[in-house]
Amino acid sequence: MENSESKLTPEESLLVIHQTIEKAKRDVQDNGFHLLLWGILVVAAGLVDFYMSQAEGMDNKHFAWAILPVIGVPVTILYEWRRQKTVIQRNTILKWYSLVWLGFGISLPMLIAFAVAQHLPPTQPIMVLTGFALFMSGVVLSFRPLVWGAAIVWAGAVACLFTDFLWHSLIMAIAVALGYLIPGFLLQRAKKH
Amino acid sequence: MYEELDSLLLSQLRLAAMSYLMVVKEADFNTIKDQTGASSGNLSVQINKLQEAGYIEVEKTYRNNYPLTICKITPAGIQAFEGFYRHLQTYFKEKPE
Repeated sequence: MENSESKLTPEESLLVIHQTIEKAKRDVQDNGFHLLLWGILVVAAGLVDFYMSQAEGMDNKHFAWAILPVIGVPVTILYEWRRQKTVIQRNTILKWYSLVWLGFGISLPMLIAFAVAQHLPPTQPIMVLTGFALFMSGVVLSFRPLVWGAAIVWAGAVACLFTDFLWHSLIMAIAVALGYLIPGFLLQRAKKH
Repeated sequence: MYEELDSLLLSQLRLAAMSYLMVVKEADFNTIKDQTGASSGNLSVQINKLQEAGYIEVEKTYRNNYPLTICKITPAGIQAFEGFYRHLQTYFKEKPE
């Protein structure tokens, strides 16, 4: 970029625009850490919860889900705290991406509390909300696998309508593995390349 | 047709900085520097020119006790970039084979 004062030809201008925009789109993407962390936790909790609900003689109080915030919240806070210290950066795309997940983080405990207070299974509304957050993330980051991930998680919520509550945690684990973990891996890979 | 192109954007660094800001809308100075591969001094000069033209706004602030310069594309900047891109497209359409 040393010849910044020499006039570009139209061909060179077009090349600069395309190269910069392509690189920018790749670089502003999140590294997928949070998707991977929470995806692994949700899949693990879902499978444990499903096993406990199927195993004979076990009184499943759904304690497996309680592990999620206990591990996930401190790791997330620690990761973000360290990142903020090392990376001084601000851009609108990541700001909107963070706001989507902040809204999700605020809505989720409220939604679970309301469902439990009304003796309703919270799985479906959680999946609908997760699908919405994934969809918005996909749109904000222009990353299509996240939009497909949202469709899978929404489909999981619909599938819960036709199945017994005992299967919901397994459906959630599968939907999150496909709709959350895979886009997370792809996002991490896209960031590395 | 070539003469109609915005001469301010016919500079590699200014055009790269504006293209990046078209994607992210706002970014700090160091990020733009990394994205464009420019030196601090050169980028600083070109950022000033874009600011003088009203294409970007520059906000100087602090974060974690470090100075932070945020550049934000303005509506006039977006309009100028879109107009520049439209002119380029017309140029290539009308260019004889």
